[in-house]
Amino acid sequence: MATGHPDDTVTHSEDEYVETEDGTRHRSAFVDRYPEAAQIVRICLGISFAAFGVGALFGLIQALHRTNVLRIIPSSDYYTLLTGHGVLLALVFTTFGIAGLFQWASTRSLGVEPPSSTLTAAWLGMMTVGTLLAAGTILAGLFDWIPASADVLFTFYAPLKAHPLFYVGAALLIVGSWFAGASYFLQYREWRSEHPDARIPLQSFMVMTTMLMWYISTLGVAVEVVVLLIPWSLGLIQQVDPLLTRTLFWYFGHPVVYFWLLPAYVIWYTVLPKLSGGRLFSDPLARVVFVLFLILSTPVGFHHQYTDPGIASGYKFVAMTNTMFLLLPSLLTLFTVVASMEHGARQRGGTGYLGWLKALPWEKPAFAGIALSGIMFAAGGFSGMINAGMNINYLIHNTLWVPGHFHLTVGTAFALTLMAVSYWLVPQVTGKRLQLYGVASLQPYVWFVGMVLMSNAMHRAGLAGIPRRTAEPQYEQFSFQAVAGSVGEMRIQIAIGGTLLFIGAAMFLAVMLATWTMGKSNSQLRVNGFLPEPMSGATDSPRVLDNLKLWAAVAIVLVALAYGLPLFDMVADGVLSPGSLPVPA
Amino acid sequence: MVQKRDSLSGPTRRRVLAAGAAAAGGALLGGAAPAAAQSGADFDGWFDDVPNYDGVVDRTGQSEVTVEVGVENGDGPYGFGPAAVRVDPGTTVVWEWNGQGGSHNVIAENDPYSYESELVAEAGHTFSHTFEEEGISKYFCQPHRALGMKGAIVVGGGGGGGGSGSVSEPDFDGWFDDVPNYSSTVDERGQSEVSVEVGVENGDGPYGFGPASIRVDPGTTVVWEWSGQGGSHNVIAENGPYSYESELVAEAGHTFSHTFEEEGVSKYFCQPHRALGMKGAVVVGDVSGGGSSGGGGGGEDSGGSAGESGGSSFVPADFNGWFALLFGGTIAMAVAGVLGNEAYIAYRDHASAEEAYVRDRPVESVEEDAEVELGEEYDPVGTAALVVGYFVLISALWVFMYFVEYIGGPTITG
Amino acid sequence: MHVHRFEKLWFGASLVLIVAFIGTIVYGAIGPGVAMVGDDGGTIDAATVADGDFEQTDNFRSPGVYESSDGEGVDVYIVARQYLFDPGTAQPIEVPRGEEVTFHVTSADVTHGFNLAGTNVNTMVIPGQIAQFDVTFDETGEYGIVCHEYCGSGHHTMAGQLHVVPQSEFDTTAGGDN
Repeated sequence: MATGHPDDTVTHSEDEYVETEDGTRHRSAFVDRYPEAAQIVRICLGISFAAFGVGALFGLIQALHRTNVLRIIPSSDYYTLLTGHGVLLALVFTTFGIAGLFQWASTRSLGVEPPSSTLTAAWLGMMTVGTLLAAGTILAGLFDWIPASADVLFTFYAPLKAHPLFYVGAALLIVGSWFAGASYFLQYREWRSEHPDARIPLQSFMVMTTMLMWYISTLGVAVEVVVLLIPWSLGLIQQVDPLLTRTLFWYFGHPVVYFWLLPAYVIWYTVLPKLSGGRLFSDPLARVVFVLFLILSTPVGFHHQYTDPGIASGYKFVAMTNTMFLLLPSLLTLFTVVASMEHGARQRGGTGYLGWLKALPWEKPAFAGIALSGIMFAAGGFSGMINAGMNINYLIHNTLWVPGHFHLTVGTAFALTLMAVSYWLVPQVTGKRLQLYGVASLQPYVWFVGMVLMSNAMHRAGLAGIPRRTAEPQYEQFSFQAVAGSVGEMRIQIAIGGTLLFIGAAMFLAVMLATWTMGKSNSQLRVNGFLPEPMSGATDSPRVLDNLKLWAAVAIVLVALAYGLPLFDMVADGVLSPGSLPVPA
Repeated sequence: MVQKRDSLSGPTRRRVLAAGAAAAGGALLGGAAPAAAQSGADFDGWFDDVPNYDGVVDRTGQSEVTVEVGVENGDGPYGFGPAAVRVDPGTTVVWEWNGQGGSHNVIAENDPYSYESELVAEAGHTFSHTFEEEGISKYFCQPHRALGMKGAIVVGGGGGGGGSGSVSEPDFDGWFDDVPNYSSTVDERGQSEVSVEVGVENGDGPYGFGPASIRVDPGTTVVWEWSGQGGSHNVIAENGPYSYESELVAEAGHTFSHTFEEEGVSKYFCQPHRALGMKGAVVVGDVSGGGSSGGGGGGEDSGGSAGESGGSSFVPADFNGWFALLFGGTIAMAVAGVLGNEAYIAYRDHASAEEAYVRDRPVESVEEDAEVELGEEYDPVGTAALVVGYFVLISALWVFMYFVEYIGGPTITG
Repeated sequence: MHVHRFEKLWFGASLVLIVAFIGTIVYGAIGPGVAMVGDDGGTIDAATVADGDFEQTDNFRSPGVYESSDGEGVDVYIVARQYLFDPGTAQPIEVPRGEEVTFHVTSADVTHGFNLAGTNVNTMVIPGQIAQFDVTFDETGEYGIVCHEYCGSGHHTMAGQLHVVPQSEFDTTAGGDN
């Protein structure tokens, strides 16, 4: 099985193998070879899953509330829970989950432990404190006697103003993630010093391109929060320009979805082929895709502001063309990943044009979850194309179509992939066998069905004009006209779908909890962590792909071109004007 | 907690007896009668759970009056001393903490009064408020409200319209059902001009009128005064024969007045915030309603005590209730016990089964071998079929969305 | 770099798809003439809007429906605030069928949304900015106005109506001056 390559891209040394009592040779688990990295992964995933549980509960309450099925909170608290749902799931669950995945991927592909426990403690500490502050101020909004609240939703648009600690918490979470990235780059530097001519191992390459994109993109929200919103919420400056702060948010707000998507792609490219029983179809194309994301993710933020006044149509057009080209790496991914799965299916004996699909291991929880999330993403990609379509965006802007879209993408492509890969990875970082295996096998299907119901109804409701972010979308003055089906039936589907999703989340958390508490350390696992060589290897691609400095520079230039003039227009009449006084929320 | 139960059962019994004696419909509010008889001021049941309340102490004729915070009140230092004082308009009341009973604060309960101290424990801390307007200002200490730490300042000689000439609460027909800051109709008779504040706290935000309901003499001019809170408000009459409508204004200090000649009940509301409960009423003259909807007015106070008696409603009132609770509880515990035991046995057995997998270090499973080893040259025909299908589907959906859904209805053209 | 020929084909097909999408969007702008909300509306001081001091501004007027100064079509000035549209909530906005209606929408406090439910008439309403856009309604009818951007605890109560009436029945709701 050990394959030596001239470029040393795979370190598959014999000392990974141990002999067990019955004389067979087994590969020692990740936790045994890299105990420090494994501990970091465990901590990150633990926090991520805890946030997921709370966020999922809020989601259930919201789904039942706005469909008028069951109301247990006053409608004003709906917005508090919605803020919690957005922040805990889209910022905490994601960022900690990604930090854990990247720590694993970076360590595994480079073969080196994290460089500095001080640095690790620093970033874990910052991110955790940030999370507690942000979540604390949000939840404080549920209790009148705590003089803090942050009912501002995940996008915290000014002039709605949250408690200063909310913004401080968000800033700490982001800055902490910067230091986590530094840790991965330091691991790479250590590896590079021992392998001066080798190609960057694929997973490490993906981790680093994603983090470079993250650095470039978080600059916008960091400036917004640290320079403008924190002083404003403390009363040090009187007014901020709502259009400018909104623009700085969306400068970050689009690339953040790729920060969520690319780790899912890491799994789809490097782990899914192995789970399918095959090999990655093409390493070079995977590198091309990640470079394309690095350079194109940020200069497209205006597609979230197509309906904004104060931004010239020309800038919106440029954002539209950039966004449309951003479809390319995802479409390429579609091909490469499915081809890799097909390879695995055929190696498992599948035949025919489509019959090979049956030969895939659908009964295995990790495979099923990742494959189903890929299918959902193909659907979510389409609604994303509509969102990107500049003028056609006006049909669905801020309607329920938009949450319908992103529950398919971050809500399934990212979330279900993370859950599914956890079934495979958590045993490897704990040394415990997965418990409640039957529940785990069923869980991806429960999630999938729930999401199909909820999301299709949300899309259709959006076409009728039903708004998002609204506690009670039933108005006295008029009623909504459904395009297909009826509004009542859409509400029922959203309620049932949301309930199934909550059950799916609870099933996942039960499996994780059971594994943590009932699994025994030092077990022989059900899973195997070996990742096979791609069919078309790294050496088949031009070296320039590995020149990360070049691609980062190109990304920065494109961002300057897309945002330079519009931002200049906005600050030309004053950075803080036209300004608005804060409205506490 | 025991103290709370004690302080409930007494007044509850007393109140029920009093209501029976008063023979008013809407039993719970009957407590107002005996309370009013005690003091000449109508506290609407406020002091029902305050042991150290001993009538209204007359402190008129002084410019500054002191109330002690943390005096003995039945079962602990959770009281104000005196609990109720009468002062002249313009008097400054100074609350002085005596250091007993942990942290206390002083928070105004009803409009038009609005004051709130810090939450403090130390002896010697003071908090003052000057009372200009005539009326009754109830107040409480938040952490100890449930223990009966409540008080009242009666401003002016008239007190709150209790005693003779007391008129019961008019029938608002559910108007105030969604108005948290409505407690009862404040008697403002005997004045030619009465103020109502616009934009006072009303449950969930500054979307309320303070007081929500007032009673005036015919010929009185009501002046609404904007507080500046809660964005833009207006005042619009809801029912005939009254007809008045203010401008929609946000700024503090804006006023709008209307003189009420005809006897009757004038309901009014603020339009943008009507759905949030920003409603009020002006009762002109001696209009009163049946006692049953007085329950609607007393709903707020009995809501307060009903909250406490709500606590006691979890304790069964009769034999059947107790029997059901005990029987059901025993069954539930037995079932839980059996299930729990089963779960434990399963866990223990499972744990020993898991032991079989333990090695001296964590190891992975052995990889499966491929059934068919594909060579380096492999044509992903299945993938090609799928992506072609996807391409066709996406194109069709796009054409449908753009040309049928989008280009159809009203669209922005410039 | 070795790329499988299927994947090369798919790469080409993807580019065709992307260009076709961009093409339809450009066609929409040129053919049926759909447009976007841009920066033509200009800026305004939100405090002025909140106070209703419209004489001080040169690009906004007291809320209402006016005849256009060039005689063609009407201008509708709308102020959005927590939690109503003025006009729109207290009384429906009336506009004539078949004429060009220019909307001018701004906010007195926080960011709101303005959407004729189920149609493409959709804009953000940002304090400090005026959203200006034209719509020609081909048919009479009634539309609901929804605020679709979270604007505070009463956000779900914020709605209004817009009525498209025959030209013969149409009457402006506001006079010629501020």
